[in-house]
Formats: sequence, C-alpha cells, structure tokens
Amino acid sequence: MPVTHLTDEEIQDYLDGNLSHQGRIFAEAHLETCESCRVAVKQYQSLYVGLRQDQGFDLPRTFAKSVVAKLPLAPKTESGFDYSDLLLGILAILITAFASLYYLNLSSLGERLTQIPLPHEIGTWLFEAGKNLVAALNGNLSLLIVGILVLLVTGALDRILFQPLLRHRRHA
Amino acid sequence: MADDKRLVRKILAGNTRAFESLIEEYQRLVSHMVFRMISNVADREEICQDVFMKVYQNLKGFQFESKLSTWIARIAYNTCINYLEKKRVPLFDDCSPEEKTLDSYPAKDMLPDEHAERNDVSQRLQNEIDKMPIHFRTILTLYHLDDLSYSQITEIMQMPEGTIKSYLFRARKLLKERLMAKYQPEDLCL
Repeated sequence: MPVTHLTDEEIQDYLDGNLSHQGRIFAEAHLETCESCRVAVKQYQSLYVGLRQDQGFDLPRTFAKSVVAKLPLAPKTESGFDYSDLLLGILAILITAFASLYYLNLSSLGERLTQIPLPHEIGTWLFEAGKNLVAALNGNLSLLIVGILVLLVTGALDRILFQPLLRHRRHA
Repeated sequence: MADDKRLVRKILAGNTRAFESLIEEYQRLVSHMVFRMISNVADREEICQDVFMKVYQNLKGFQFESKLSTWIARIAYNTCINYLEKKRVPLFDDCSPEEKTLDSYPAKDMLPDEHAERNDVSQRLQNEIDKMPIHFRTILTLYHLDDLSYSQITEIMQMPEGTIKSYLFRARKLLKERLMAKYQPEDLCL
C-alpha cells in the first residue's frame, strides 16, 4: 500500500495550528512513523524561527520627535472663550461700582429706581432717572467720561497687543 | 482599544506629546513593512516619516471601525505601494514557482554591499526574502513578525482572505525550496 505523505500545505497548517482536531491526530500519527515528513516539518520549523527574527532597520531614537517637529501647528482646541477675559470684566465692573458708590450721591437715584413705573409712565420714569443720575454726579461728569475713555483704551490694547502676544506664547 | 481611543482624543485636542507616544508605539510595525517593501535604504526613513504624517492628517476621520494598528499598517502599505508605483517597480509579478525561479526577482534598488554573499544563517534567509515578490514579502512580515491575523492582513492589503492564505503558503514553500536547493538542512538551523 503506497504511503501518503503530508503535503506542504498540511505541514504549514499543522505548524500554524490550523488543522482540524482529526487532521491534527492524523498528522501526528503519520509523523511518528514517517522520517521524511519529520524532516520536512523540521525544515519548516527552522524557516518559521527565521521568519520571526527581526532584521528590520532601526529608526533613529529621535525619530518620533523629528516627525512631530514637521507637523503643521496643532489645531486650535480653544473654544474662543477666554476665562482671563471674564475675570478682567468682573474686576472692571467691581472697580466701577465701588468708585461710583464713593463719588456719587445715589440716595435720590435709588429712591427713583425703587418706584416701579406703570407701563404708560416708563418714558417719564426713564427721563427722571437720567436727570437724577446727572444730579448725583455733583458736577463730576468729567469723571464718568474719563472712566469710559480708560475702558475703551484698555479694550483696544487688549485686542491689539495682549491677545496676539498670548496666542504667540501658546503656540511657541 | 480604550487606550487607543484616549490617545487619539488627546492627539486631536492638539497634544503633540500624545502623538509622539503613538509614533513610539507603532514605529516598529511601520518600519517592518517599509523595510520589507522598500529596497532603497536611503528612502526608508523618509517613507516612515510620510506614513506618520499621513496618520496625523487623517486621524480625524478614523472611526475605530478597525484596530488602530491595522489602520496605520494600511496607510504604511498604501504609502509604500505609491512609492513603488512612482519608481515603476512591478507589484503584481506574482510568480508561480514552476514557471519562474526566485532569481528572476532581484531587488533592483539594492546597494552593492547588499549583493555580497551573506554568511550569517539568518541573513541568508533575509537575502532570499529580499528576492521575493513584494506581496509575498509583506504577507510574511505581517504574519510572522507582527503576528497579525489573516483578517487584519486582508484589511491592510485589500485582498481576499483566500489570496492572502495562498500567497503565504506559496511564499513559505518557495523559501523552503530555495534554501534547501542552496544549503544543507544542517546549515539552516535557524
């Protein structure tokens, strides 16, 4: 009866662990008795060991850094809202409020503001409130104007000078 | 997978240190593929850089439908194929061992030193692999060196699983035959 040897495909499947349970039992039984198939299996085993040897070229240690250095500027992740703006805004409002309390006589203005107007009296009420505010300034109208000018200049400087500087430092 | 997601999220938020980590994690896989597919030593590092630049540029579109490693390997494979097409290196010279011998596939871009006979046993094997068609070399590397599954290799190379299995089987058979024709079995104790 002629001997049926394992084919190359069967040997590879055997070594890859891809044979069915039955196939594996048959292959192992055959290898017990067949010298030529055992040699073939050994040759494939040697080949498999060689194929697992890493002969790849080594990238330089600084490879990752060199790739990162070539990247375009990282995408902006900021939402456009800057918390420093919020803090500055709150600070400005507080300073203005305290300065107002210190310089202005607000009692008559306060009185007017506490009187809730009827809908048809709103126009008159606003006019009276404005008159009371001017009176409360006690001739210090220039103080109010200077205050507004300072705020405008600060805002302009922030837009033109501080924000571009901050952006530059973040990207650097 | 969860770690990969976290890493990708950080990179997309502009964290370049996270991208450095990604490169360090996957540069071995990429360099294996580039080493096997590109014979021109001088171009290999630049191609690896190209691969990671493409990874960075396309990361936003990565939807985690596959493993990150498979996706990166696919970019590496396509980058190498594009390079080879530009250099007019034949890609589909899928040889049949009966019709052609491996000597018909010299590595065209090899440096003169690399043609010298290699004495080291494992280098003999590498020498024979270098002479194989590109797809055979790539599949051997992905399967044996990077431990990727058939389905992952299928995804990377965009070929049917049956073709991948057939190429792998033929590549190993061819290698064994070539080595056995040149060397005695006892010389090949790798």
